[in-house]
Amino acid sequence: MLPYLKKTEEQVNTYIAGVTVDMVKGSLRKEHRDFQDLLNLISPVAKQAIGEMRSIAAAYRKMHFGKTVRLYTPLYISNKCINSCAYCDFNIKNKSERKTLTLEEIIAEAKAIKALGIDSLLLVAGEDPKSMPIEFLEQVVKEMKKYFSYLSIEIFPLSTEGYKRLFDAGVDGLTLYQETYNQKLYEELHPSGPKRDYLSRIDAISRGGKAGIRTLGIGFLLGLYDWRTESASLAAHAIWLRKHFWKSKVQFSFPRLTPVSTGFQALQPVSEEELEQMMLAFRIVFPESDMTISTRESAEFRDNIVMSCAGNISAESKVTPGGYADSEDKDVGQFMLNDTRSTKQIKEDLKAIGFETVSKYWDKVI
Amino acid sequence: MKALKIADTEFKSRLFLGTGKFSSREAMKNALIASETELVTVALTRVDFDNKEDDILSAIDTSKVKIMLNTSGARDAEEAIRIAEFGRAAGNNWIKLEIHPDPTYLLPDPIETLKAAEILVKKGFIVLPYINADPVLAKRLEDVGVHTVMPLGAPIGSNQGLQTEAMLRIIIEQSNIPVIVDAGIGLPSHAAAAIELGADAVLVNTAIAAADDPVLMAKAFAMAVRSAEMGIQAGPASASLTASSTSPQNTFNDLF
Repeated sequence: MLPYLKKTEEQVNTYIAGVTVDMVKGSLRKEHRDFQDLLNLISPVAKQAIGEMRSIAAAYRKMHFGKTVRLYTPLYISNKCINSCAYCDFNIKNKSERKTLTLEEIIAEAKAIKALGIDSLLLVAGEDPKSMPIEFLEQVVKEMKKYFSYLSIEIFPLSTEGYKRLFDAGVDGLTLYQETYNQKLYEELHPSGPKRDYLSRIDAISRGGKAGIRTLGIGFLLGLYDWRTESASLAAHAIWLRKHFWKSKVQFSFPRLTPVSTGFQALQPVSEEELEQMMLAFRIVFPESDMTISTRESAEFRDNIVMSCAGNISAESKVTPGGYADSEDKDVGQFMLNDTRSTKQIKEDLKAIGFETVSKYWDKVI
Repeated sequence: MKALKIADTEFKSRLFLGTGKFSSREAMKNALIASETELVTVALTRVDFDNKEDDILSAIDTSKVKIMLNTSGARDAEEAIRIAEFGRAAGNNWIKLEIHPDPTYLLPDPIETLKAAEILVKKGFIVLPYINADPVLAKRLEDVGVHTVMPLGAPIGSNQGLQTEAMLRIIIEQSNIPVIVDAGIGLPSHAAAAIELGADAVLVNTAIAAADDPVLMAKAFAMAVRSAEMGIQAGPASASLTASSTSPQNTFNDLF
């Protein structure tokens, strides 16, 4: 569980197991909901109220985001990594060719992504501070802001000072998944490298908050540990972040493990039904929060979840450095993708269900 | 009712619209037409000067509708001023000043708003600040020369109606500049209530954009605002706590 919580994991799990249908209905009828309501809505019995959850979530989604969906695309600038995350193909033990793109190569990628009609970029990199000093990142951010209105980063943790430098250079959002909130499992899955330090990882996102970054993206990797316990931690983490960084918004992502080349298997797989229940619960309890859904999920699931939960979706993702400018995907990717539709196709499919895709929803001027 | 004039522009319609959250540009365009609005607000964050295909401005008929950019996204005065300057460079001198650092309820920051308003007025902008329903702040803004005040009825996008009614009453009573109730208006009846309360206009977005039929809802709002206006012009009989017969006794007394 997230440290510093008053409740133990056992207490939380016992509570969730004891939730009744009436408690779920009570949570759904309320106007203002809290942590306990989230526990009610992720409970096994809440499945019986899934239809009602869907319509309440959809109403909130519409109220806060209207009938629009924001598009973003990830740009992998490096697959070099000194960590050994068991579930990731960038794992140092995976002896495939690695590379860090040069600034010129990154610009070529940016141009290719921009040509797809995308205006929001997520910069992704493995952890390799040697090939990516802060000065280089700063330069990349400044350069990317020439092309994209909105820029997020999903890179290795930095100091508050490091985040501040990137924020000043133009970073709007920071995504940093805890992977698992279970400390014991976390240490098993991250046997070596700087990422091994569980508490430092927890703390990193608040350093981003201190630096003033507008969007703080959190999540856990679905499939590592019991999703209900993890959801309780995620919700508590979000509440804590909101209270301490009132000028930043919390963004939830729900990355579900997809196969990796090293053959790592999900330890506690999460089904599509469970993923939907989890997202609905978060939408209902955090009605105004940002929620993303990546191309790890199928086209069908993504289109459905846009109607009730997700306001931000990725499009045409390539998970290899250099994957956009160079159409031949020969390098090591981070994981497998399920939705490979073109941006144009995504736009058409979403239009058919009554949603407008929005590329530009931010401005460089701000 | 006194004609509605902001800066030097007179408005026949007291219904202003926001342009976010629509399912398509066509839907927005048709709703704007149905609402008969003459003033809409557009977030600079949604304006794309480089990509005409994605540009929200191209769907607005500027011969009928005035555009005021808004500073949504700004967390402080400095950012808001930057947005306003950028908008003016692109030809928009009207600015809806909204500074909401809190992303949860999007409540406006009174201190930064006052700071920015003072500077923007000096720079020659037509400034319409979005504020909490705070009567003292409304007067402070009037003192620095803003052109309207836009107090909220309820948190933006919440469709809760005039939750701040008691404070709105005081703002309206004290104001020498137009008062536009902005945010929280969820139903045509809320808009009518705001006009009946004495507001000069209302600004509506989510209630129309997120409706199942935005065009029909836009029409409904237009009619509600018109009917409230007509009601005021008609001179309503005063309300009383006791019942009074529609054919009072003394009428009959006169007959005999």
